Amino acid sequence: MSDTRLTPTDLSAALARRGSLPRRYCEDFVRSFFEVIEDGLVHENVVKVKGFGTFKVVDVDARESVNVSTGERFEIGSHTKISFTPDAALRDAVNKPFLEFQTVVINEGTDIAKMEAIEEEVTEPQTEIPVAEDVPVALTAVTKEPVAEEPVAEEPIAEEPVAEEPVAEEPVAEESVEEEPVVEEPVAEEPAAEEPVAEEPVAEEPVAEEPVAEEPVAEEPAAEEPVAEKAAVVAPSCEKRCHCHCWCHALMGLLLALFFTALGYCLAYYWRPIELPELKCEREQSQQEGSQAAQPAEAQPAEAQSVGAQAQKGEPVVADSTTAAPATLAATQNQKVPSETQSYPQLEGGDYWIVGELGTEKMTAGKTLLNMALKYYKNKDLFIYICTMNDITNPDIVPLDKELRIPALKDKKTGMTPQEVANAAKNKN
Amino acid sequence: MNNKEFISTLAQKEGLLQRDTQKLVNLLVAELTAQFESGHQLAVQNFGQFEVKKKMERVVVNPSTGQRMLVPPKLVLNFKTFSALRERTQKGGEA
Repeated sequence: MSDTRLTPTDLSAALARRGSLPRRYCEDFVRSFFEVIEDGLVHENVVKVKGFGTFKVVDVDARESVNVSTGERFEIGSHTKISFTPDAALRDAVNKPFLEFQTVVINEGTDIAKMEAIEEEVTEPQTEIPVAEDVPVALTAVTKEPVAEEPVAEEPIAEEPVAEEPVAEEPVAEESVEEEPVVEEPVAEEPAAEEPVAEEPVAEEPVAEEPVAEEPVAEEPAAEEPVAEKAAVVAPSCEKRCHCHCWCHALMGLLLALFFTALGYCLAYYWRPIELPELKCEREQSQQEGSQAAQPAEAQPAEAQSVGAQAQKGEPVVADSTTAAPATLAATQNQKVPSETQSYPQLEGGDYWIVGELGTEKMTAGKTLLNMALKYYKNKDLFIYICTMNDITNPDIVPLDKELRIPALKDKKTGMTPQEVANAAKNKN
Repeated sequence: MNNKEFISTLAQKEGLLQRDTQKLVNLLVAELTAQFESGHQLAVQNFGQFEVKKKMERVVVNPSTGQRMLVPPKLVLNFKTFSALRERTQKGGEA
């Protein structure tokens, strides 16, 4: 930190540069600035300057004090002092280098002398937790640290059992994990034996599921090996591991969580094939219905075909054609599917058809589907159509840099675009 | 004296419009912020001294729960009055 001591003259020079103002004028202004604050303090006790801070004259009560060298008691008379509280903006600007730090609760039994070492540990798992495969790395890091701290290790041996607890838990965890897959295996075979069909949909399923199927397999050995290693490492160094046993707990929790997610995936994996055929049937049916509904529309005279693009125009034309066709067509007319819809995925039960593409938009940081919907349709509720168009199953998770196709929408009843609907609603109001 | 009163007093003294005064004050405050940010001190005669000080991290204890907290280090802007101002406020306070 430099100790440059500025005077009002320096300050006014800097101000003159910043505002490109005459320097003499700035000097005058800076002097008046502080004079007015002073006058305000003298006459009103409080001066607030926006963006800078608050000056206050505070009364200090009389109090007794002791002269340290003579032990004599004397009274400090009541007086006033001037306090200055910087504005939040100024305070934060000054404290910028440390702004990101926050007050931390210290757990019981933590040795403050080791705070630094612990702080390092705290940051390590934070970076590693997101990646499940880093777990062995985290383990080795933890096991290494106590070795490095050997000379520092002061903890009494009384805590040993505490350190062993995680060790005791580990076999339990292993057992449970070993048992559970065993329990599942027959389950896995049963559906395979009962319904040979069940495996086919699995093979056909989207890519998203395949890695899921592999994951548990990949995770289990990865997770179990370090446990075995750890058990070996833990035995000799358990004395030194006392202070990091909380981390062992955290890691155990993480491992358990991994196993349970693996389990969950297994279960989900075996449940899905049962649901899928039904879904597929539904989809096929709806497609057939769609094409059936579209076919009569296309079978109409040439006028009806030209209708496709603009349903609004279509209405009168179809009304003409009703002279030739019976009134039943009028009923189907509401459900008439524009021919373009076939080449795009459609949202079941939605108010709009997807009839084209408005363009593409790249997903970047800060963009949301809702914002996009608001931008293109003036209605954020319609983001679901962007999801449908791009096969997004979870709108909360959209990969970065994904090129999203923005669908062009048309109201199923009126044939209006969402923008027109929004404008109409606005005009009404 | 709130900001509005402060600005109007300053405007009267300088013979400026309040709007322009506010603009100038904003400029001055921005300049001061920039100076303090880079760690400079400012000493104004007959007024006081502004200085950025570093407070070290420390452990505080909540007396009722006994919970210990680690407060991070921070940079704080300090203001120390010079005796001239102190005397004036003392007199002004009494008068």
